[in-house]
Amino acid sequence: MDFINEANAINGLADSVVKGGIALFNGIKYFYSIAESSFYSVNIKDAFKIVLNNIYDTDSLTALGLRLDNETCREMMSDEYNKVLPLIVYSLAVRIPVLKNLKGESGPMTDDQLYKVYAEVLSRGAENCGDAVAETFMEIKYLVRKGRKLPPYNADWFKTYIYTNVPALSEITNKNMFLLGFADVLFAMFYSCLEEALFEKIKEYAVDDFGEAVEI
Amino acid sequence: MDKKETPVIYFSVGGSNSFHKLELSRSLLRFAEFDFTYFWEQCIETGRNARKTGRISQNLEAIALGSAAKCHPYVEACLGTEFDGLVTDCIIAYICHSEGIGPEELWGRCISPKSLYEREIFNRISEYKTGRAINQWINIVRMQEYARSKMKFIYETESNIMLPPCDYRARREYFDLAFAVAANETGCDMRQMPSVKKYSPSSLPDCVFMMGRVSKAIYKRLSEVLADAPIARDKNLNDHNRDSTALDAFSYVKDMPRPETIDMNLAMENITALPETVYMPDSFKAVIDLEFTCMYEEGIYLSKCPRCGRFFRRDPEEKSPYCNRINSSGMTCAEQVEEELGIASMKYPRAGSKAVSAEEKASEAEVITEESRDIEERVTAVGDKKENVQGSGTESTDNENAANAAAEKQSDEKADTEAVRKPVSGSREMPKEIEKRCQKVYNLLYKRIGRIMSEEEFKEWSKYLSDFKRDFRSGDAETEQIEDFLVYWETAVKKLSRRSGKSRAEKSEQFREALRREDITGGDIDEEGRLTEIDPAVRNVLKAAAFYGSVPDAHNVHGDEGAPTVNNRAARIMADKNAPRGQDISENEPEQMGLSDMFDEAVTEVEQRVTDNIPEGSEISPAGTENLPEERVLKPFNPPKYNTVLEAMMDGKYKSDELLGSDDEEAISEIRVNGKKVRLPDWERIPRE
Repeated sequence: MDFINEANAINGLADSVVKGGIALFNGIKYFYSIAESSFYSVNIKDAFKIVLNNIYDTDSLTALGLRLDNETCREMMSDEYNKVLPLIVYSLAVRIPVLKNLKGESGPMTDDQLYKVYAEVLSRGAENCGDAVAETFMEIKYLVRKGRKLPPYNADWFKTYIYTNVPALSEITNKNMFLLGFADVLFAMFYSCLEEALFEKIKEYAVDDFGEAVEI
Repeated sequence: MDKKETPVIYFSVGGSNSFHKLELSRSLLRFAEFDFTYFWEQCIETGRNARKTGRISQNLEAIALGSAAKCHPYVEACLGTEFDGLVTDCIIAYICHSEGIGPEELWGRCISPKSLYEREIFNRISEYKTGRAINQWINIVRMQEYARSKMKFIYETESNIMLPPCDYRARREYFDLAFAVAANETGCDMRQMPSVKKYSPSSLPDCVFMMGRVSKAIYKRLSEVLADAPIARDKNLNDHNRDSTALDAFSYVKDMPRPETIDMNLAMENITALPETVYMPDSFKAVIDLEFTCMYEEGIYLSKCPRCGRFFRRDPEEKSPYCNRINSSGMTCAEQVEEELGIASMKYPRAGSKAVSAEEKASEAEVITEESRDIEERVTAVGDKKENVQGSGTESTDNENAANAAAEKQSDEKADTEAVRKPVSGSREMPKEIEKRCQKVYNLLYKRIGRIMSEEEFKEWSKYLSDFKRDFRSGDAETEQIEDFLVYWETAVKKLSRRSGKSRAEKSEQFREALRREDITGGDIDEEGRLTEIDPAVRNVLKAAAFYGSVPDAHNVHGDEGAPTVNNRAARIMADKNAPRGQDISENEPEQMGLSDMFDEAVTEVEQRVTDNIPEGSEISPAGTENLPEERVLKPFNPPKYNTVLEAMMDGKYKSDELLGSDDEEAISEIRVNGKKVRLPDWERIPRE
């Protein structure tokens, strides 16, 4: 795919992936805080709407009266849990080959372009800590190239990680059960929206006119 | 508190360390009538501006908030907290209203805000959704409706009369109870409903900060003791551990001696500057309800002005139902009514500027009460022994003498009244002597309810008395007419006390029945109750007499028994009205001797007095029977409904003379009001026992 400024496009896409990862990371915390004292006052559906409509910025969730502090997210204030952030970004980065599915007049993004974006994301701190994320960039690239259906983006790796590495979140408590419940839905829906947002970004950077864009 | 000044209570709100003043009745009236149009326009302007600039202008917002803050002290007190987003609320309501969408849809539109303005709207609606706020603009509008409804329920009365305080209380409690029933039935927990807590300043939740200087001085004294005290941050207070927690805190001050005089004086200076009682409402409705309650406790009542339809504070002693608020004409409603009635001299006292002080009124009431009691005792003595007298044929007894003595006493007072009979220019207040006599007659009749007249008749009579009073105040009746009325009833009471009997009551009823019939064209009732021919002039007089509610001796209409009666008296007065000046009344009509010399004397006295006071060229007739001026606008007569006889006594709304036609007219069944025919009520009298 031809970009107006390829380096700029790669940086921009990598930036979007990282921002999306951070938003998901913060979104999890905000959702978790609902269980603290806003369980009956906040409609979680509203929280989902806000997160999914503000894919790069979860600050709008504060409008629901949610806040992130030691009181509401005490269990998530640990170094072990903080590693979830690079893991989330990594889990998103390995799915960058999916961007090949957007085809412009000059064709889809090349493997080289996709890898550059992936490398840029990794350079910004994405890391598969403890090999928690099972998917790899190459696997996804292969599936996309073959045109096979990708496995849905889910929170399995997230749950596995916190079970094994974050004891405060692995206890059976009301809040932790709530976390496990919303995480599945949030991860899947968030990725879907992020993917759409990345497609829009590509259209912005591309030379091609995507007035009648065709998604493969 | 001075009654003439508006009583004030103080309240405090959460998040504020200030005391706020609530002027009873004034705050409520202002809020109920507050026009939010300016605020609404300011909000729309702010919204338009924000749409262009992407943010809500703080200046425009402040202007709008400033205009809304005037509506009620509570709104002003909570402007920085509860009503902080009032302008945004109004903008949201406007957008939703104009675009026909709900807040939910607007929230969805602003979910990815592109400007601070959209974010403001999004955040505000999010607060609604999570129960952290409500649309305060809509709340204020609904609260205004609540205040109006409650005010109307409690204070709106038929005929704009003032009710006894217990009635107002009952209405208020009933209204609140109805609310409680509705809340209970709709699943609302009444314990969570708006409420007010009553505190002294030093027991307020934020008293330490509100009384900072004194608190600091106390802290200095206790600093050593408190230095090592553990901080109980995580104590969850509940119903079970409140006492123990409080006493734990008390343990640090239990040995505290009283401070030095200088410190105590400092504390006293600060404390006495604060109100003794501070209310802490938890919502706007609580403040509105609090004001209603405190108004009742302070004896403040509202009334609806029949002219402008607005409620106003009305003193219980205030007779005028019209408000004293200056309207667009530059005059008050009371003044306008005066002007329309063409009564230059009538001046209703303005609220809060009573000519008679409370002390004077109290002393006057005491005098009236004492005299009334005296008369009542005598009358009771007469009444108790009446049965022994009846049937004996003796018309003069000691008991009657006692009653006569009371009448004589009143006659003496009447002479004194002459001095104040002529209305003072610029004032149409009822002379105190007349007021006293009215009260006496009222008491006399009241004592005889069930003996000489039924309760219904008494109510009717008291209504006539009220009419008279009202007419006097409005300048439509003269002192002589009231005295005439009073003398008539004083004598009638005495006479009726002596005379009773079923046959007589039946004949009276027949007589009244005949008078009621519209087809009377000149008939009268003879001794057997048959209709006979009657002089037209006398017939009108009889109508007047019937109107006044009593025909004690119906078969004596023509005086054929030789006894002067009420109707004879009325006929005499009518005849005298047409008689040449200076001619003796007795020369114009056959001499009638009869049942009671005392009665004759009284009648003669009244007639003479009336005759003497007739100016040249004028036509004076018994009260209520004068001809109606052609230009006079007749008003429909709606019989007022009273809950108590006291109300009837105190009230004077309806002009009896408006129902009476001229002497030459046939019996009136309809009158015209503003060109429309209004049918007069059929007077139905309840026969006496």
